[in-house]
Amino acid sequence: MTSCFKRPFPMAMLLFMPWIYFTSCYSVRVVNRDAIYRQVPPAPKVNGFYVDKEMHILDTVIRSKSWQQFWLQEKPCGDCGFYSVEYRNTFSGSLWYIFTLGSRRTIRIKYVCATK
Amino acid sequence: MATTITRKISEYDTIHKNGPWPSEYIHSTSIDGRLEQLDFFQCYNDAAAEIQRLLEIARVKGEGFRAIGSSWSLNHIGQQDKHMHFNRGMNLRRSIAAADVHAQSSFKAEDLFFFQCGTRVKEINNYLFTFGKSLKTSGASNGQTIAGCISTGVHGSAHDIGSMQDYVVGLNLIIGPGPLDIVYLERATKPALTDGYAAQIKSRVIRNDDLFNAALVGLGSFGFIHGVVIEAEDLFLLNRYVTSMDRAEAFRLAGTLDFRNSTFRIPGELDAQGKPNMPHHFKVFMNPYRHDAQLRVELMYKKPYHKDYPDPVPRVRKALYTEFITGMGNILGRIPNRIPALSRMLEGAALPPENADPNTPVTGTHAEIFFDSLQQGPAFACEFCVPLDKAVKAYELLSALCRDEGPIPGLFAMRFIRKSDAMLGCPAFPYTCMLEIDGVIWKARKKDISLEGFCKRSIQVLQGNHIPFTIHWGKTADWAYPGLIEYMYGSKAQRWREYRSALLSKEMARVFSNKFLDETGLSEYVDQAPVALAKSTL
Repeated sequence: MTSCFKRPFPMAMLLFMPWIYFTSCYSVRVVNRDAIYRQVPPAPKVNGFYVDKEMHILDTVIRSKSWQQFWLQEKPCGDCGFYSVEYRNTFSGSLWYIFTLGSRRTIRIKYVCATK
Repeated sequence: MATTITRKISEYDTIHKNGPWPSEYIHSTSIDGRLEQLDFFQCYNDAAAEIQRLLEIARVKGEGFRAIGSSWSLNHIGQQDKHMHFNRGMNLRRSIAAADVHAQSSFKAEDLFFFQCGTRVKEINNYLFTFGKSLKTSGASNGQTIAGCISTGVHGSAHDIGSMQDYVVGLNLIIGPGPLDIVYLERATKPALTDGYAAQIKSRVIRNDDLFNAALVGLGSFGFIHGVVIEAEDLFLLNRYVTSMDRAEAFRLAGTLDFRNSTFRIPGELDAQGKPNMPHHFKVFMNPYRHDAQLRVELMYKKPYHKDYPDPVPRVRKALYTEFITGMGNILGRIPNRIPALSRMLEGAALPPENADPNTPVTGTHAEIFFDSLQQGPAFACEFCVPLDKAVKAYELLSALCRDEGPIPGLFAMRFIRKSDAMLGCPAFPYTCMLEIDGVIWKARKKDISLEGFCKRSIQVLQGNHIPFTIHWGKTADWAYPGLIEYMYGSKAQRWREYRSALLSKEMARVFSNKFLDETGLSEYVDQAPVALAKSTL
């Protein structure tokens, strides 16, 4: 305990890092509430929301400046549209963003197509 | 032409991870999109021919074949060692014209709809809405397929309606690969469609009440359910209240459904004499590790439809990460003292939040109230169906089992429905309390009770206390428990076997059997079953 007071900075970091870790991990999923999703038989190794959904993953790094907008254009859903789109922010993604001074953002988007 | 994609697999699992079990092939048939646009019947019959082709392959090889829907059952009822058929790509739907209704029918054409097996409840809701119609009842969510729902007896808590199979009025079964093996089955006392309609789906007609009631909850073993005719009703609204109720009064209502003389009142739900109205839906939640003076309850009252109500579907919904819940189950399951704490955590995640104002309802259509589920992680759910007057006693016995021999990480709830006409319908009593225990799958230490152990002891405890019961076919249970089916259904189980044997050839009965059916003893073929059992009585 004494050493903690002698080294307040590492102790504070020790307490602060889990807080940063947990607060930087979150996901936002936008769901088209009236759509019907493309279904697959439950995958043995998949859990939760995507267990029975035909899910696509889009991994990319966006190099953008803060005054720019960007579009991701995907075709696999055809004219049926999306059922859901999820953006998940991770701790490593946040670190990458900080270390590149905001010029590179790793993006992982999971999406599910709707069906007719 | 309908096309089938076949994948070789090694195992099958449910969405709640109650397996895995071995399986070899999964087939997935999709209807021909061009035919769908041109001609409903041609497209439908084309899909039937494709299913018959697959059945012929299984028959020739002497292998099993089983259809699965959305795999929401929490046991191995859908599993088959060899061939499994994923019905999802078969979702045709059609309203019924007045000319297609049988001359002796009491059904109104506008209420009848035909759905192909793989149509999901949400699709049905969307489709019926365009006609100003609604399902009479459904499960708590909307992802199951119609064939899966009726095969296992999915239910809600509409005490005056029953389960989903109870508004099915016609079944189109494929019982083999031959030209006479497509059957349209309905009740003789309540015919729905004309022979002409049956001819259009290339089916021979059987109108027979008992055969229909046997096939209704057919456990996926009465042939391949290709199409289902249901009776819908006019669109209605539900006023939903989630509030607290005095424990003693909640238990009195659970044993009697006597709302008229209840001390529990919601100001907006009283009749002209000031007496409480009977709710359309009633559900009580209990935590077995707490003796709360107030219990969380959910009540819904049916109202005529109008368009002027706020959107009841919450814009933002939150759920715990599945990995988090699973992780907690694995960790806390090894520390029995912490399981009650896990159950308290589940309360926060699984129980509906109380209305901000207990006297102001959330209003929505049936489809809006019973919306998409957020509970999609590994889970178990046991469900015992007991007579109304035994509901509280059954809860006391099973909750004591949780405390004395557990603990287990689960919460209890009671729902109430009327008796089903289906021969093996789980609601087998005039009014049935569906006593359910839902929770997360846990890893127990060797000396502690496991899920399998709990399932076995539950049966023993209820039997030991002479509580009559049945078990929901889609839920977790010790299905191989000796004499279980006879205890639950008595002579009805043998009659079910006889009707199945009369309809199916011995060869095809084997094709449509699986391990679940073998374990329960229901796959047994009755060689001497009278042929007349599968004949029309109209």
